[in-house]
Amino acid sequence: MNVGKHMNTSLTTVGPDTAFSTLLVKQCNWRTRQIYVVDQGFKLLGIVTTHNLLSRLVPQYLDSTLSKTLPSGDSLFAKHYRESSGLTAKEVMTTDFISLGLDDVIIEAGAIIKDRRFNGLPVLDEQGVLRGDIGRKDILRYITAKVCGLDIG
Amino acid sequence: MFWTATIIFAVCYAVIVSEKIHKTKVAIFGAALTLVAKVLTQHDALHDIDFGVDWNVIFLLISMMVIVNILAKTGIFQYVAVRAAKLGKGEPFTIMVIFAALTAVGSAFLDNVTTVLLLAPVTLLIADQLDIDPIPYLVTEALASNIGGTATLIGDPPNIMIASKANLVFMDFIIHLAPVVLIIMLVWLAIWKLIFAKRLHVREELKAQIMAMDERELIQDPALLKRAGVILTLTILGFVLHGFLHYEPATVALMGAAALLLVSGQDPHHVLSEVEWPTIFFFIGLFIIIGGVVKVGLIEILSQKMIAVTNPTPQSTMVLSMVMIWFSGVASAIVDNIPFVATMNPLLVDLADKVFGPHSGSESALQHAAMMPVWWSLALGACLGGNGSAIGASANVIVVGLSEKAGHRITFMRFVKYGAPVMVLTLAISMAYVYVRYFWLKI
Repeated sequence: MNVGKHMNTSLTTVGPDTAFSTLLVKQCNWRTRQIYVVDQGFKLLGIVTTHNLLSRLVPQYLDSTLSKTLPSGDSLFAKHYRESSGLTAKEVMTTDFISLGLDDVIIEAGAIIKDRRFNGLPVLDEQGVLRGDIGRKDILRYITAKVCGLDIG
Repeated sequence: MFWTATIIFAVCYAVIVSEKIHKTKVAIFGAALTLVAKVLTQHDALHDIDFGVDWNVIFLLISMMVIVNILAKTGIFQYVAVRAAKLGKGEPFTIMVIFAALTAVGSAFLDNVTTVLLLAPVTLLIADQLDIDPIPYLVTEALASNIGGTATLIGDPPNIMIASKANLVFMDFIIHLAPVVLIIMLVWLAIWKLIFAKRLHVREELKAQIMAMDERELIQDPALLKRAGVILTLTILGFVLHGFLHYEPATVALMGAAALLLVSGQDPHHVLSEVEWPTIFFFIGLFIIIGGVVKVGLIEILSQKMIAVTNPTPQSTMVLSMVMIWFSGVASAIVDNIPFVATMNPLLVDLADKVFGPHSGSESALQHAAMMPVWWSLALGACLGGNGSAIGASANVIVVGLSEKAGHRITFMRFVKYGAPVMVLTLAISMAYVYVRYFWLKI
């Protein structure tokens, strides 16, 4: 089965100059899997994930053990938010993303997501225009309903 | 055969310095060429004491890496660092001095790179909490690790190589190099106070954030810490006594590593996988390449030229010692000090034989009273010269990388701005020390 038929087309998209604070707010929306950064022609420039944003707010050097020494990390979060507030989407986004074509099969998406632990993959048409995305849940729903024949409501 | 060995040596050296290809690949390839071209036989490379791999160095390095890897898992370094920052009551300059001292002591007994790797995250956190620039702290730690590593036989790879070649023991380094390292630390930190003490000021509420940190959380495995502490203490005692007990330093380190591996409960597969095998194979390759140029006589020619220029005699090696400090220092700031010392070692052995010795490699020649200042000068120059640039020592490269990853880029020139004056200062102090101790007071 092709990803084009099972992809999600309700995407969160922004321009490359979108402010860091806007990205945070958009990503906090429970319906947003990841934010797609596109140009005016809707060509995909990069992806902003929750991990991209958290890595700007949680100090890179801080591991789980060292973090236990802190009574509260709020002042560190606040400091790193202040330092990151001048950033825009083009400085935060991941540009070495993997994309799928509309005719690629779902098992390919499943294999990539399993191997690389991505949340979701963008689906582009032949011109590189963003048409949708497919995530872990989409693939699981497809297998459960269409392959296993179970009722998912 | 002379030109084959010389070309292999020169090309490998040039490629290692250029950093175009990973140095381990170059060293292994150069070693393979040395064997294929029959400059050395495989027997020479693996067993000959003059031309082959120095297994004492190799096993000392591997064993120390195992000890450090297990010790690092206890969290003791980070615990001590946070505790020290709290003892400094959150005062930025006091913390800088304490961290410099901690790094120097840590690097004297452990690997420099591991020491800075363990302290850097704590440093970044404390700088973050105090809202100050972490770069002066990180660079200070890199410089301190190179200075502290100079003090002992196991502190820095050049010292391990020199000790093995000249048959020096742990206490020789403590007696001859630790005093000058202590002087250097005191002078350097006094100058650092003039530069940084007034510049570093933070608000009281930020200092309170340091005091609120709970360092006890950093001890991840108290039982392992106790066992590792006992074995590390015994290993250091073994180093102190190895000359008296007639054991090679590698034997002491191997016993320490084996005992720690046995009692730690750690998976040997995991611990051994963390040994820096590329560094180990870099050493092995380098020893074989340099063994080739020793065998064909290139090193002997260079040694004759050095004798002609510096004119060492059984009565005095003053010029040679002074030249050695500055030549080694400047060279080590530009190129990796490991291949540099690997080349200088056989050169000095040849020189010692010609000037002092009745037979090749005899201990009486290598440890002739007039030869000792030359070995110490080589160690001082090679270790302290690493401070001169961002690529002069592995600890510098690591600190620059960690800092950049944390969002604080240390440019090459910014490192040089701190490091080069420190290198000049420390080499000048070393020169004065060697002159006063060995050529004036003669003690």
